[in-house]
Amino acid sequence: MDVLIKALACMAAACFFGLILHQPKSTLHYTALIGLLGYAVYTLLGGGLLAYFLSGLTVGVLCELAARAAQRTTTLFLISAIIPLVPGLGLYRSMMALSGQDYSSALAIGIETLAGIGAIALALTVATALFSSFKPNDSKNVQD
Amino acid sequence: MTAQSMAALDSAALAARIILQSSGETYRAEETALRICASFGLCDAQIMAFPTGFVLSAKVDGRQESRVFRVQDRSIRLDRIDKVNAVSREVVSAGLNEEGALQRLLAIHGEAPQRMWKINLSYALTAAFFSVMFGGGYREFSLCFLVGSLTHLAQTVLLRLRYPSQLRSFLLGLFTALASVAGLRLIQGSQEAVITGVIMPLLPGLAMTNAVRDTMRGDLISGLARGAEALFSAVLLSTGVASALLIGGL
Repeated sequence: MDVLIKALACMAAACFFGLILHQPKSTLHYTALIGLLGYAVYTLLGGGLLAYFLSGLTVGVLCELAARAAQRTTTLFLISAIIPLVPGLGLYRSMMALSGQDYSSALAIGIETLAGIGAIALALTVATALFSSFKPNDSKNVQD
Repeated sequence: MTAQSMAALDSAALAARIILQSSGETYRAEETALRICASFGLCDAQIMAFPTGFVLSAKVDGRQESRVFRVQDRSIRLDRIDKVNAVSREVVSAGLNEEGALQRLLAIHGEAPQRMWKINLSYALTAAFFSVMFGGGYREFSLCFLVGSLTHLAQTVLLRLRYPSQLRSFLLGLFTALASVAGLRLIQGSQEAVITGVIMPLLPGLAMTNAVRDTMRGDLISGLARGAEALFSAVLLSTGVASALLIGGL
């Protein structure tokens, strides 16, 4: 029951976040589903850097696929689908430790959070690279 | 210069301008403008775009013409990026002509954003649902709804007053945490779920994804600029929250 409520909250949060960014309504169901899957992968792997990376990769790849299926741009799906993964909790906990003058745990959690953001960014990079089309004959590239 | 080729160059410039003003990726602005130029037969088109402006130049009827635009205020408008993309596809494959494209782009440019209360409601609900995701109950949900709504109001006011974006992050972090701590004095609840829920929509998710996407396309300057933007605003947001927690702990 608790898991179900959290899953629904995750989907709703991703959708409403999309609405803040003026995301077209016809793409919101993709966002909700991809956001939920990403968060599920993260939760099932039990947290940590690998979980951030693999869930980021899931979201990135699914967004590229959704963009191709719907013939829209990837950015439309990606931004709101990735937001449930962004480690806001770690950020809060490290700030809480900092204000309690517990510097060692503030540093530890802070570094873990930053590394988590890095892992997500890396995963998105890999997902984009997997799907990007390289055009060797592009006139822009020849002039470099 | 004929009116037709003028419209061709203007529509390419307008497409790039709308994408940059809507916080689209820099490479997308460049590619769209070049694609429109190529479809309308303007040769030797070159564009150099940054998150803060662009220079576009192309040969129009034998003369080199250019358009320069400085992007002053950006907002996040995924709908406009989507529509410009659709226009550019039609120009390339469905034979939309110069005047038609310019008219369509002008219409997209003039499109008003969603009504304030709708955005405010979405903001409040995003914060509220995130607090549930982080283990909050109905009390945290309602408090987050209220603080989220206030945060969006504060954000709108700071935008109107033209505060620089980094200072805005700090002030909003400070405001949300203070408001949450104050609210939790009245209603019992988990401070962690409330504050995390409210700061989630403030985190620079868009800047981060765009930084990655620009860097991957070889647009190093924009990638680094956006990456720095994301990092600074995350750090300043956290500093704001930490200051509020320090004040709240006194």
